Amino acid sequence: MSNWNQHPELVELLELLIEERLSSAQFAQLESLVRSDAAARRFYIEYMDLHGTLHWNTAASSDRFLPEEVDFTCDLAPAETAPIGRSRYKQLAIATAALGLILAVTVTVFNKPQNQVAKQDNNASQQIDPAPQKNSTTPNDLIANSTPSKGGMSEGGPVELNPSRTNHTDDPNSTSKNDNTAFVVQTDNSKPSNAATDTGADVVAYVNDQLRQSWDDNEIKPSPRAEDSEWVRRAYLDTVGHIPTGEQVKAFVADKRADKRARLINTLLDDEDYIRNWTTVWANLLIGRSNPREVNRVALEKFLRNSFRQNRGWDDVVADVISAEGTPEENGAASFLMAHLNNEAVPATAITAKLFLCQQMQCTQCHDHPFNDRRQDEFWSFNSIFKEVKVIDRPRADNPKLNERALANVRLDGPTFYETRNGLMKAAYPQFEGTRIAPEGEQDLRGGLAKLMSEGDAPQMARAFVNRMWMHFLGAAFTAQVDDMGPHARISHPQVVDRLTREFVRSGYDVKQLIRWITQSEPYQLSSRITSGNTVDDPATGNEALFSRAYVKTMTVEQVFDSLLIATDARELFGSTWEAVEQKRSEWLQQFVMAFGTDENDEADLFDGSIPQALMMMNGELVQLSLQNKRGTYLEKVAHSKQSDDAKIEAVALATLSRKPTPQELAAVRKLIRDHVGQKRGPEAQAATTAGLQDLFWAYLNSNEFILIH
Amino acid sequence: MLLPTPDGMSRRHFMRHMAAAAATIPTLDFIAHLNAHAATAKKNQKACILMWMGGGPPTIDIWDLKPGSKNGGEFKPIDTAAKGVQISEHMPKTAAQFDNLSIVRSMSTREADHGRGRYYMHTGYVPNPTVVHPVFGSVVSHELTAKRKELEVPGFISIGGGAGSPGYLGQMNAPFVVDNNGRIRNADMGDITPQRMDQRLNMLGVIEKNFIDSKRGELPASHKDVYSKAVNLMTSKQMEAFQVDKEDAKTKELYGANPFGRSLLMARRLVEVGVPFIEVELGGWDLHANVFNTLKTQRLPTLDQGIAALTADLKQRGMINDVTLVWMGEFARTPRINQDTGRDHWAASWSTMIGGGGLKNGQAVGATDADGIACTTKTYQPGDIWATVAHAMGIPTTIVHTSKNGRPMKIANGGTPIAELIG
Repeated sequence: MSNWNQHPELVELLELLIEERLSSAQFAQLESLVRSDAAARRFYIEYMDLHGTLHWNTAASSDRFLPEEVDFTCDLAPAETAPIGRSRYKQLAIATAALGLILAVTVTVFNKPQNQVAKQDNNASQQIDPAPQKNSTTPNDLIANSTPSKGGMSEGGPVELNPSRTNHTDDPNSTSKNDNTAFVVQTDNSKPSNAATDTGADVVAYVNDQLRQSWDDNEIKPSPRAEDSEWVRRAYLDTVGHIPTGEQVKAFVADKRADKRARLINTLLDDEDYIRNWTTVWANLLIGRSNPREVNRVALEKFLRNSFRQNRGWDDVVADVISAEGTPEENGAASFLMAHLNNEAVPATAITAKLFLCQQMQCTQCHDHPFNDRRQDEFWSFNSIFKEVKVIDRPRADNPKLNERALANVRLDGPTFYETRNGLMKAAYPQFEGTRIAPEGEQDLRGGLAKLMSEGDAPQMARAFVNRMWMHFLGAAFTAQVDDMGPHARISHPQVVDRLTREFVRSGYDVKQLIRWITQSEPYQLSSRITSGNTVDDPATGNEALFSRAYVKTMTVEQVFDSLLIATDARELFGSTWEAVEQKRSEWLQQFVMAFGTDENDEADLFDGSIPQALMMMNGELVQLSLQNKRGTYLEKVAHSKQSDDAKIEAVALATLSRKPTPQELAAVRKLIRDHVGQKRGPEAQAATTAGLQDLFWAYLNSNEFILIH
Repeated sequence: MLLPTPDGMSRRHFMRHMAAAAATIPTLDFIAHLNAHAATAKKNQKACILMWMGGGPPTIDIWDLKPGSKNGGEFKPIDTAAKGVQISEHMPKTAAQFDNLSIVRSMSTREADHGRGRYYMHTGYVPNPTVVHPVFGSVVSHELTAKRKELEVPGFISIGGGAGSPGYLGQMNAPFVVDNNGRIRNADMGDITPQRMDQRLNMLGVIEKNFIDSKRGELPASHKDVYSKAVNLMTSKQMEAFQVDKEDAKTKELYGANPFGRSLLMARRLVEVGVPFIEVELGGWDLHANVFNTLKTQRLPTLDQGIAALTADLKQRGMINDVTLVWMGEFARTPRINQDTGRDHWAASWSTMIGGGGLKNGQAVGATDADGIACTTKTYQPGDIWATVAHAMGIPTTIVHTSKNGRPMKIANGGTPIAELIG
């Protein structure tokens, strides 16, 4: 460090400052010295920067000392820990004050020309000002304030954000503790599946008007309305996660009612597989498929199943997830944070923003975002909310000799700290979108966050969910990437997003209602065929999506598994109970998951249309077993029925591709069967015909038309 | 050979039979392979083996040590076979091979997030919401696979890793992801005879064509192409290259009885049948805590043995000047040691290793300052590394691809081969 000997007076004052012995007169002396002399200022900054860094390196960062020193799980806190905690805490307070002064000085003197930097620092310094007072809290206060670990979800219950709404969840505690059976009683919100067919007519009309306008503006013509057989397959896959059976297709096609599409969606929304499908979708988003450390997938899925079964408001579900406490076993929602709280809660911060807000915050962790106005302090302010919660080891209630891992709150009354690119330590206070969050009564920081996230008529959390759901059904989001709705991201149809968001919020975050609006909108009725009138509308080429046709999507690995079982009726071959089949599915799909082993638990989905997937479909055990001519499989049933060969062929086509065979297919398969039968007679000929049907079945299941949602 | 050849049905017969049907079945494009099995792999074909260090390796503890600095950590540097180049004391076997290896010590990349860093280092481009750029393995596959008529396995193979997307170069250039045990899952047709498989594929061709003709974008045709490649693979003798167990015990021991060693050995076998790009993953580098212990006892012994074995083996087989070795992760780790004795994400100043390929090896290009926190020389980006690889493999760096939205995309993002290395 420069000029150590040139500022003996300054050195002495600074030493007093960090040893917490500085009087107010001396503080004034220090301030005037630093303000009046540029060299002293430089020395001051270097000195305090070094102090801050050393302080950080000796494990004194706020989020570390609190959980270690404050024992919130038992009363036997070792006496000697308190003074350490106290002294460190005070040191921290001083460091904070000093850093505040550094920043203030930096702003006023050094950085005037650099407007943006100055603005940012200025904000930081303003936030820091009140810190020294707050930080005088003693460790005893901390113990008193820190919430003892609560079993299950927050006992105060989710804050009622929108008193006007009429829906749901009487007792959130029970979701974590009870079995599915507790929720057989339907709440008001989950009932109106049939009644609600018309309630959204004006919403749907508005969406349609906007889209037609954008088609006109772009001088394109939408694809024709999808044929019933095309549409019914898509509606099943998108809503309940698998294809319809041949019988279901026939029934839908035969239905002559004008509103049969809306009726089908309502039926599907009440289907058990609706719950299963969305549980799969959200379990994968929340913790991935590779089942990372510390999670309990079964309990998480139970939590999600209960949520979708009751059609709980999305805001409530999110609140439960981000403010979860307890073990992943007792509180299914806890798995999300258990999986992502590592590494200073940085992954938890980034993934929460990405999943629930469709915002990419992780880049601003290290520096201000080059392309938008997101700033580093914004990331760390958001992050500091998650530093309130820790994964702790605590004695088990049933057997105190054993420990269990659980999420527990530790109350932070001071700031958390982060390091800027140039090595300065800066303070961050719990904030969301510029609003400071403070713990209030029973409500912790994360509860406060959940409340803020769902505040207002069209909060980002609701917009994000609308964007995700639109993407799920239409095959493209309103933004180029579904989880990036940041300020720089262009939204293709802002009015549609806005209207759907407001209506979604007004409905009490009613997920099923949002699905009705989307699936009743005109774009969802269209065919996936590209016509000469809309060739340009292709998001796969990087163009903005105009939704003038249904974009082709690839089935997920779960959709393939479930659809194979529907098509082949081979479920019983994989297990007699629901759990056994579920277990089989989860084992089977592991071959397509590759975890990167990083702090964010990210993973590659190898079910990506590449060779291993083709090999699995052609030669894999799953397809081979499902196509056996035995034990009540669909093939066996069809082959042994009294129908004509052509009727059998049609049955196989309907079961796999939800349509009748084309003339070319009929010709090819008739020839195939003839080749198999050859000169055979009697039972041998019958077996040969079955082999031909089996080959047809195999070919349909392996086709592009099967694996693509169109 | 995985496929049992039935009586009277030679592989050639099978292939011709299927190819005859190809006129009406666009799924099966075997014409190029009709005479393939007679051809043997040509000697001295260029290849690249990428050793991918998933999670971000602490290069300050491996390739660019800072003794005497507060950031220096626990390890000491040792001399290598390259004069004046020192590396970590825990890399002694690799040090002995350093006449064929080099370090680029002034990497300065801008992405310190795993997903973005992985994308940036693999493609040379920062992520962009409107374009998916191909990883460099896909670029090499695109440039060289079609020229190697004898090659029946995919031109880009990823062992034990994810490897990323082929982007605008299409699924034909996607990485074929295999695990390091050498067994290709589901490549065996089981009880189905080749004749029966042929009948099934004929039927499949009719169904696929119907759907492709119904005009629904690129995915249906891409599906057909991938199936062609998969069928190709199922019938190829070159599948033996994946079977590391066929190597003699001494060679296996040289590489090490661990997944990384096996993967590198498999990579060499794949190079021998003509595969131009192989990526091998060694993960577990996201060392936010306990970095030195983990390096010393787990990562570095494996890494050291693997690199040294591969380099020595390639040299002994006369392949070292044709095979370019690249070692990198998505970024490196902070010079500063954190409170958990770990290092966090760092992209501003770090090292990659490169070797073989006929490059001017045995040197360290670029430098960082005494604490390792900044580059003191010209800095390099992933595009420069890939341009160097392209140069070594005889792929012109002037090639420009076109993205799906019609934008011209320079190979390796317009990077320049590193002057010191290409001599």
